Amino acid sequence: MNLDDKQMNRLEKFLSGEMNELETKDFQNEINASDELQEFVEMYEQLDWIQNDEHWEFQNQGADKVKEVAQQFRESDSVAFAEKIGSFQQGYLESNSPEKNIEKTVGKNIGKNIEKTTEKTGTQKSSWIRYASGLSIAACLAFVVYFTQFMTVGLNEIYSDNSSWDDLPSMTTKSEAATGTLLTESMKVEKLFKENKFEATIDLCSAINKNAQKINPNVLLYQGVSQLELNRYEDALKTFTLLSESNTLDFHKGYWYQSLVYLKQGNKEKAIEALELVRSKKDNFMFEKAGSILKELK
Amino acid sequence: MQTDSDFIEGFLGGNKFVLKKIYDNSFPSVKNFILSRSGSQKDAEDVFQNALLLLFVKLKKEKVKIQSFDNYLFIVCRNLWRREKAKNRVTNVDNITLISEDLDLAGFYVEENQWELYNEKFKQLSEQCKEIIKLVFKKVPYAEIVKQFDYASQTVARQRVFKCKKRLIQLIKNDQRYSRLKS
Repeated sequence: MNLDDKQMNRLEKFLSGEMNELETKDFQNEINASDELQEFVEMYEQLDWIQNDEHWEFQNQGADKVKEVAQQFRESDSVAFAEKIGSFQQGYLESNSPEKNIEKTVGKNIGKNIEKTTEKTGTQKSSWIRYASGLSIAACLAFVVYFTQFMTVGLNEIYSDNSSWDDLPSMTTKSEAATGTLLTESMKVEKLFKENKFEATIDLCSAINKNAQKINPNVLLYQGVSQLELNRYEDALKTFTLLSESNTLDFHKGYWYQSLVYLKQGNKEKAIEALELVRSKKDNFMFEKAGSILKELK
Repeated sequence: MQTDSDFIEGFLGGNKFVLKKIYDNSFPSVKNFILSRSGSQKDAEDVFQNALLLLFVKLKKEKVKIQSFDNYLFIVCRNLWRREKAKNRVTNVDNITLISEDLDLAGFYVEENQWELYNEKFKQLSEQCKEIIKLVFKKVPYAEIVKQFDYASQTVARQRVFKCKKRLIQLIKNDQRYSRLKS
């Protein structure tokens, strides 16, 4: 840790609640300006997740890291294992269900039992296992789609290359510690997003928008991108349209993100339309990038 | 349960005898844990399956050595359930949820690795530090902590807590895994 003794002493006073209002405000500004101080404060406040049953907190992990691990779960042997576990568990629970054991003991007709266990079948695969099964089906569908509409694959690649979300604005501003909460609502949005909690990000953004007197373009961006991550295309388009039609300085970012929605959807025509809007003015967000994508698409 | 390489091989290969042993040994305790924390039988089944899948990927990817498969599996299940409860997520099976399921489990995978690092470092603290931090985690009032540890004042107790937590953060950050987890 590179924090010096003076900073440590102040951190100690700050985190132990021993600073007065003015000192707190000053130190808060210092924290805002230092990644290392911010990291320390975040870690300090999150430590109780080690043991607290009611609390599950963690430091931001990079979206790329999660995507990399997700790939492991999508590999064919993981999907096959998931399906194997699903089938095994189903059989295991059926053979260990009290109903079945009673039937065995008294040697009665097992027909009734089969009916009972059949009813259960639909509920005994975890959501991931159902997802894994879906992946197998999706793989077959993808094979057909690839040959009938191979262009979509190209659009998806363009989408993947341009959706790292590193260009999203930072929301890092801290509220006064005196309120007892270190994270502002906007910071929470960014934090939730970076933790891939897209549902929660959308909920928080909606709540902020509802109470806000004017449009906050950054909040709309996080909301729209979260909707896009969850493949809620219509919702994402609505959000980005709201941004592009707003009178904020960042309105033009809406065009770029609309184009990403269409690229992910595989809608080439609409993607081109949105990209051409990005190209309508040189100062527009991602003007250059839109140009190269248009070249690829045309 | 003895966690030898044959057992792990059997698990990774989906050997039915090994799976049965795992279910016989661990599923009842996981189910009891989840039922006692306002979960359902269905929740327990989902958590158990997801934990096994996570272990499959982890053992395949990281070649970790596990002392006790049962204990390890139980901890993963417990943390998965803690996370579910914290997220207050409702399990539903619509398409939107299914699409993001692998990312969700991958997110937990990364978090679990982080938790393991934090927990391991926590265990390396002095006994007194562990005790005092446990009390703080449980939100025991400082007045009580002062009494229990015979500190001169609450300020002294707070300073002690700060020093223990600082030590823990140092231990975590000094471990090479910390930077890898963040990158």
